[in-house]
Amino acid sequence: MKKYILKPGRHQFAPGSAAVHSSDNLTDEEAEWYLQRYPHIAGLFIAPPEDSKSVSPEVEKPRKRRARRVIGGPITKSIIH
Amino acid sequence: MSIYNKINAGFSLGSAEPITSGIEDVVYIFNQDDFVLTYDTLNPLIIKDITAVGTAKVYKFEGTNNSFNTMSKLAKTQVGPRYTEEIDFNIAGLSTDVKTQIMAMGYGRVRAIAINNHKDGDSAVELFGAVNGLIVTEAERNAADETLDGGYKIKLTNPDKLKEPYPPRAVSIPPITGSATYASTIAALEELVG
Repeated sequence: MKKYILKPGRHQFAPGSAAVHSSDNLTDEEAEWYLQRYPHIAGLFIAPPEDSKSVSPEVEKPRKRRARRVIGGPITKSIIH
Repeated sequence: MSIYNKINAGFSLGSAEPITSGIEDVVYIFNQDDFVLTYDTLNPLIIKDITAVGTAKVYKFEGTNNSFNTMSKLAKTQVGPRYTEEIDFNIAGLSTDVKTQIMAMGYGRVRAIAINNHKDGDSAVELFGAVNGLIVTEAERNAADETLDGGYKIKLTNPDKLKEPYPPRAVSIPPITGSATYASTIAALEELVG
């Protein structure tokens, strides 16, 4: 399955270029090559690669435990007479 | 090009890729001996790669206001067609650094790459002086000139008595895989710029 999918239509990668890039003619290797040289084109992809990278590690992270709130200082044993 | 003296295709006028005049206000120049060119195996009009010898770099000369131009003209000779090439550009500066570069381009041979405004097709980026190089034949500075405001007007042409055996070569450098595009060619060129 393709990792990099361009949004529908034909796109320019370099300013002034003819719009020739589409999902049909762009392999993953080419997409990575272009992304390295033209970082601004990340927004042209359906799932921008930067977002998918930044999201995935955080999902796996365990949630931080909430610190217990201590009200009224340390609990002392109450003496029952 | 096995059959070099027979045409094998025509041209139909259409509105999909209308021709556009002019070049961008940038010219990439490098010393002829500093880079080796890799040509397409089937078409000598296409350069597929430009490789630096050692740590050589390509130098970028920028201008403004559509002031750069290129020209290629067929010159008929007794041994077949040859081509003369000219690149007109300017340097909006005045310093010993500028003068040094202009002097060097007058002694040594350089090659130059221009970017056409017409970007459809494979000839958006063209290289001049592929075989015999180019030298500066005009470097004029008129301090009172209002057009250039005292900048340098420069012309690169073929050295004396030399012409190019082919029209300007198309530079079409592909990415790591797949076919070459304008974007991949420009990216490859920018990587060579010092």
